[in-house]
Amino acid sequence: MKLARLLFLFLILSVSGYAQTKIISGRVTDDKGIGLQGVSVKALNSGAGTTTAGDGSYSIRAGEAESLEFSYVGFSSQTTTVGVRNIIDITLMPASTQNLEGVVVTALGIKRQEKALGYATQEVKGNTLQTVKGIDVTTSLTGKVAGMTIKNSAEFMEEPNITIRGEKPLIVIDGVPYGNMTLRDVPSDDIESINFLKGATASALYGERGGSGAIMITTRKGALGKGFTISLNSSSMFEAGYLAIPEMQSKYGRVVNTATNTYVRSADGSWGPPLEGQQIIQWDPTSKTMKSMPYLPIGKDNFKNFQEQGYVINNNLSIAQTGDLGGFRASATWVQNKGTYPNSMFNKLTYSVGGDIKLKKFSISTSVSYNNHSSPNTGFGGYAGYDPMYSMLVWGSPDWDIRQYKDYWMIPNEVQNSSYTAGNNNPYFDRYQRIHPYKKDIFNGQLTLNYDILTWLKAMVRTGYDTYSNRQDIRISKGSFQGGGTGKVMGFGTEIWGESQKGSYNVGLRRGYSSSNEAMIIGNKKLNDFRIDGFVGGAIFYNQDEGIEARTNGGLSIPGYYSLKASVNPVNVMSLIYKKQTNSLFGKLGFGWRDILFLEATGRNDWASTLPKSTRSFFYPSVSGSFVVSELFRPDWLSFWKLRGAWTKYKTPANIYAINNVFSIVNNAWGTLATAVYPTLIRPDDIFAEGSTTTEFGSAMSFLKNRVSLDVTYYEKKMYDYIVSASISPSSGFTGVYTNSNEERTRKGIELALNVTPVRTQDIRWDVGFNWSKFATFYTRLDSLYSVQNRDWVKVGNRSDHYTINEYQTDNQGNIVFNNGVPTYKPILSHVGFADPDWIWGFNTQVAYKNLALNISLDGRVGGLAQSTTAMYMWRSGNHPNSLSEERYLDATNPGTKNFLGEGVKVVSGTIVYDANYHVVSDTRVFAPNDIKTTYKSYIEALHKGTAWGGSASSVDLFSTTFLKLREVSLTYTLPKNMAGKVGSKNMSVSLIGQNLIYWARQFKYSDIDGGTENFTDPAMRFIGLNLKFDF
Amino acid sequence: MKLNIKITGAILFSLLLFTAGCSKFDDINMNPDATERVSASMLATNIILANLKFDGRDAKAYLDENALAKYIAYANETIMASQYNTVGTFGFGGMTMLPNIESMLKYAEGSSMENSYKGLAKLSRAIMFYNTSIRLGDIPYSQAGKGQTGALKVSYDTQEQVMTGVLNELKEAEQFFSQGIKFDGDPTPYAGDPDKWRRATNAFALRVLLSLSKKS
Repeated sequence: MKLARLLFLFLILSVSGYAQTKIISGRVTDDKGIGLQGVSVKALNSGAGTTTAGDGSYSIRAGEAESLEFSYVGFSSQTTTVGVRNIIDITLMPASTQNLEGVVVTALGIKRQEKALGYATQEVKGNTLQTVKGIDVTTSLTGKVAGMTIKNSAEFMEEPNITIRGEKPLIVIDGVPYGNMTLRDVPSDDIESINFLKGATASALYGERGGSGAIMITTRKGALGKGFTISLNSSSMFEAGYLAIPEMQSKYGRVVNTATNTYVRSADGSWGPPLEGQQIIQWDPTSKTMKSMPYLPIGKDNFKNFQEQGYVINNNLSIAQTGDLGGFRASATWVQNKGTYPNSMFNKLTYSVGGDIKLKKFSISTSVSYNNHSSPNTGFGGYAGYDPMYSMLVWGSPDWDIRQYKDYWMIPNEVQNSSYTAGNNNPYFDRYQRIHPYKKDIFNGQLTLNYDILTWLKAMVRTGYDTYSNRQDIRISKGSFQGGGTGKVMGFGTEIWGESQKGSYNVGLRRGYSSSNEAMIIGNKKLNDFRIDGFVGGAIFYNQDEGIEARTNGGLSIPGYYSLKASVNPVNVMSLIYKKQTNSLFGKLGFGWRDILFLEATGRNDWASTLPKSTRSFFYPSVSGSFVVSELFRPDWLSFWKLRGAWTKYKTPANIYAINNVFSIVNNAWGTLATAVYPTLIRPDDIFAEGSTTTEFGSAMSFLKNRVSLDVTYYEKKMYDYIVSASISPSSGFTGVYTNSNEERTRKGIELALNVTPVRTQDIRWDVGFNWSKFATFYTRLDSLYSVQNRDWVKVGNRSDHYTINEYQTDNQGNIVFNNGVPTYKPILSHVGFADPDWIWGFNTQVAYKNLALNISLDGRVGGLAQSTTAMYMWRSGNHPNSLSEERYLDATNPGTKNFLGEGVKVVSGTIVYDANYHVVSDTRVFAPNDIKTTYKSYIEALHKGTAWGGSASSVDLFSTTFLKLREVSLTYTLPKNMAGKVGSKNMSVSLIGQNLIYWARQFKYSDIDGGTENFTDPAMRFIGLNLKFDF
Repeated sequence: MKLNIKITGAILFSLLLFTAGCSKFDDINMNPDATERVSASMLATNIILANLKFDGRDAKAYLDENALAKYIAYANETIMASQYNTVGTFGFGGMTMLPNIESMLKYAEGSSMENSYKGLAKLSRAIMFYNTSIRLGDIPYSQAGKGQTGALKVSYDTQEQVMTGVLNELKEAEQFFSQGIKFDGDPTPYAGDPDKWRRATNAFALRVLLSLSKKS
C-alpha cells in the first residue's frame, strides 16, 4: 500500500519536472582539451541519458533542478546542476590508478569517501583480473597489494594461501562475511572490484572474524553502460615447459643380489651397481616374468615421460542489463584444469545471478551463486601420502622404463605389474587405481534492503546464507603396496593409512552452512562546516558443520568391489559436528570538519557461544582519524596529501568446543571393549577472549596531477591473552592446562604502495605500480609459567618465528665431528634463522598504445627458511643428481669395501656436557683428524636426515625461500569497432597471455617454493595461451 | 511518526532475538558427539591397558627390558639399543592415569562391583608408581595427580617413601579384591575375576620385594 503511494508521488513529480525542461548542449573534453567520444551523460532525476559524439559534443533535455552526471571509463566522473545555463561544457580529469578522490567500499558494505578513511586500504579493479585467467583469481592478485602475501603452491588443486600482514583475512562478498566461501568460488569475470582492508582497524566492525583484515569483493550487478550486453570471455592456456622439476641421477641402479644375479624388488632406491649393460635378471613388464636383460639406465627420463600436457581453460558467458531502475546480470563460468600427472582433472562450474533495483527511497540488491567443484582424482600429496614422486624419484631407480608399464595389471583388480614387489606402486596403477575423487557443491546468496527514512537517515537490513556439501572417496585397489597414507576423506577426519595389498574403500560426507544477518540504522548529516555520520546496528552469525566418514577395515572381500559392504572386518565410522553463534551490537560515530579533518570512533560488543558464561560477552573499541593536508597547503606539484592514524582493539573467543571437558572414547580398543580416557588437559571455567591492539599511521600522497602516488603505512599489533594449552608436568595428572597466557607478542610492519604514470599522451599511456612490505613478530613479554622456557632464542625483543634444528656436532674450529666415519649431531637445538620472509614485493606495469596493451607483473619474497623434503629423500635413496662421487663408484663396484673418508675430526677421549638450558657445562673432548672410512651411502644417510616422520632437518637440507616469478604477461589487441561490428559485437579483443612464466630461486632449483613449503610438490607448470573477449 | 514506531519496534524485536539467542548458547556449545559422563568399566579398560599393553610399533618393545637385563640377545635388522645399555629417557607420562582412577572410583561408588574397582585402583597405582620410580628414583608420589585443584608443580618424595607406599597399596588392593565380585571392563584373560586379580597382586608384591632386596 505504501509502495503504491510512493510510486504515484514519483509519477507526479517526474511529470511536473518534464513540463519545465529545456535542451542543454555542450562539449566534453579531457584535461588536454581534446574532445571525448562516448562519454555517458545522465540526468540523475529523470533518468534520461545520452553519449557524446566524436568531437565530444552532446545534447540532452533536462530541467533547471536537474543534476547531470558525466562519466567515462578512466576518468573521474563529474556531476553538476543545470541551473540557468543552456550550454554546459565539461572538462574531465583522468582518474589515477589509485582511487584517491573516489568512493571505496568498506566494512559492512558501506561506501565511504576514501579521503575520510583513517586506515589503510588498497583496491584492485575487476577488469585487471579478466585477461589472464588461471584456475583461481587469487593467483592474479599476487604482488598487487602491499602487505598481502599469497603462496601459490604448484600442487594440483591446492588453493593459494592468502595472508594480510601475516594473518588470514575474512572474505566478504557483497557485504556478507560468508563462513564457507573462498576466492576459489568467485570467478574473476564476476568481480567488479576488490577492496583490501588491512589490519584489525579496517575490520573492527566485523567482530572477531575480521580482526585479521578483510577482502571485500563487490560483484557486478549490471552491464557496464546502459542497455543490454552479452559478454563472452574465453581463455585457454597450455603447459609450455616446467618452471622447476626434480631431476634424477642415471648412473646407478638398484641393489643386485650377486648370488642369484637378480636385482632386488624391494623399494630401496639406487644404491646398487652402475648401470653398465651387464646381464642381470630383471622384471620384464611385457612378458611379465623375470628375465635376464642388460642392466641399463632405460628409466632416466621416467619422471619427465610420466608428465602429461596440462592446460587451463576458463570460459565465461554473461548477460547483463542496466536500465533506469537498476541492473541485472546472470553469468556462467566453466574452468577446467588438467594437471601434469595422468588422471588429474579439475572442473569448476559457477552460475551466478545478481541485480539491484533503486526506487526513490527504497533499494534492493541481491546476488546468488552456485559452485560445483569436481575431480576424479585429487591425488595424495607429500612423502607420507606416497606421492608418485616417491616411487619414481626417491625409492625407485632408473633401471626400469615407465613407458613399458602402461599396462599395469597382472591380475585385474588384484595384482599390479610393477618392477617392485613392495613399497613402489606402478605409477600408472597408482594414478588410476589408488584414487581420491572429490565433489563439492556450494551455494551462497544475499539480500540487502535499504530504505531512506529521512534524507539523512537510512535503514539497512542484510541477510546472507551459504551452504556446502562435500563428498570425498578414497579407493585403493587390492595389490597396492601403499595404503592411503595421510590422505583423509573429510576435514578433521582420520588419516587413511589402511593395509597395503588388501585394498580399501573409504567415503566421507561433510556439509555445513552459515547464516549472517544484520540490521543497521545509518545517519549522515551536514551542519555548516561539520559533517556528522554514524550508525547503530546488530548482527547474528551462526555456523554449523557436520560430517560422517566410513572406512573399510581389513581389506575388500571381492577385488574391485568398492563399497562399504565389501569390508572384511566391521567398518570404522566416525562423525563430527561443530556449531557456533555470535551475537553482536555495534555502533560508530564520525565527525568531519570541512573536507580537511575527519575523526571516527567505533565500538562493538560480542556474545560468543564458545566461551563460558562469565566471559562470554566482550567489548572492543577503535578510534581513527585523518587529516587532509593538501586542503590547506596546495603547491603546484602536490595534488593530494592525507595523513591518517588509527587505534583498534579487538578480541577473539576460544575455538569451538575448546572449553568442553569431555572424555575421549575409543571403540573396540581391545576386542569389543571400549575405553574412556579422562581429558589430559585441565580446562578451568574462566578462560576469556584473546585480545589485540593495533596502532597504525599512514600517509597517502599524490604529485604532479596524480601522475605519482605514494602510500606508506606503519603499524604495530600487540597480541596478548593468548589461549594456550600450556604444557605442565604430568605428575599433576595432566599434560596441559588450557589457560590465557601472560605472553605478549607484537607484530611490526611497514607497507609501501607506489604508482607512477611516466607517460600519458593521447596515444600512449604507461603505468607502473610497485608494492613492498616488511613485517616481523617479536616477543614483548613472556609468561613465567607458560611461555617456552630455557631457550636463548625466546627472549623479549627476539623474533618469534625462530627456526631451530640440530646442527652437526663440531669442534672449536667448526670441523664436523665424525663417529665411525659418519657425521654426528648435537643433542641440543640451535637457532639458525627465521622461518618467515624478510620482505615481500610486487611490481606491475601496463603500457597502452592505441589499440595495443601490454601488461606485465612480477612478484617475489626475500628471506625465510624451509626444508626441502624432496631433496633430502633423493639423497638418502641415492638418486640425487649430485651424488655421483668417486667413492660411490668404488663402493658399488667393490661390494664390501668402504671408500669414503669424511673430512673432519673424531673424538679420541672426553665428552661434552650440556645443561637443561642448552648451554655447554663442560667440554673435555680431545680431537684427532677423522681416519675411519665408511661407505658413501652411510655418509649420505647420516648427513641428510629424513624428517617425513618428525624431527628437524639437517642444515644441508635447509634452504632460503627467496624467489621471484614473472607471474603474468598479457599482450592485448582491441579490434577496431568496424572490424568487431562484422561479427556483430560492440567490443572485441584478442590477447596473448601467459602465467607462471619465469621462476628464479636462490636455492630451491628443483621445486617451486612459491607455496612456502616443499614436500614432494608437483612440478610447476608454465602456462601460455590465448584470451578472446566479445561483447555483443 | 509511524516510521519511528516501526524503527523502535524493529530495535526491540532484534534485542529480543539477542536475549533469546544468548540462552541457547549453552546448547550450541554442547558437542553431541562427545560425552562428559562415562562408566567405571570403560575407565577400567583404559587403566588396565595403560599399564599392561606394550606400546611399540612391533613386538620388539616386548623384548626390550629383557635385553637390558642381558637375559636375551637380539641380532636381526639392526641392534637392539637396550643390549648396549642405551635406555633413552623416561618421564612422568604414566601419571596421567591418576585422574582416570579417581573418576573410575567416583562412578563405581555404590555399585556392587565397588570393591573390585577399588582393588583395581590401588593395584594400578602401585604398578605405575613402581615402574616410574624404579627407572627414575625419587619421584612425586603423595601429591601427584591433583592438578585439577591447582597443584601444578608437585613436590618429590624419596624412592623409599614411594616403595613403602607401593607395598601398602598392594596390601590394600589384595584386601579389596578378596571382598570383590566379578567386574566389567577387564581386557585381560582374567575377565574380571577378583580371585585371579588377587593372586596377581600378590605376585606383583613379591616382584617388588625381590627387586628391593639387597644383593648378597
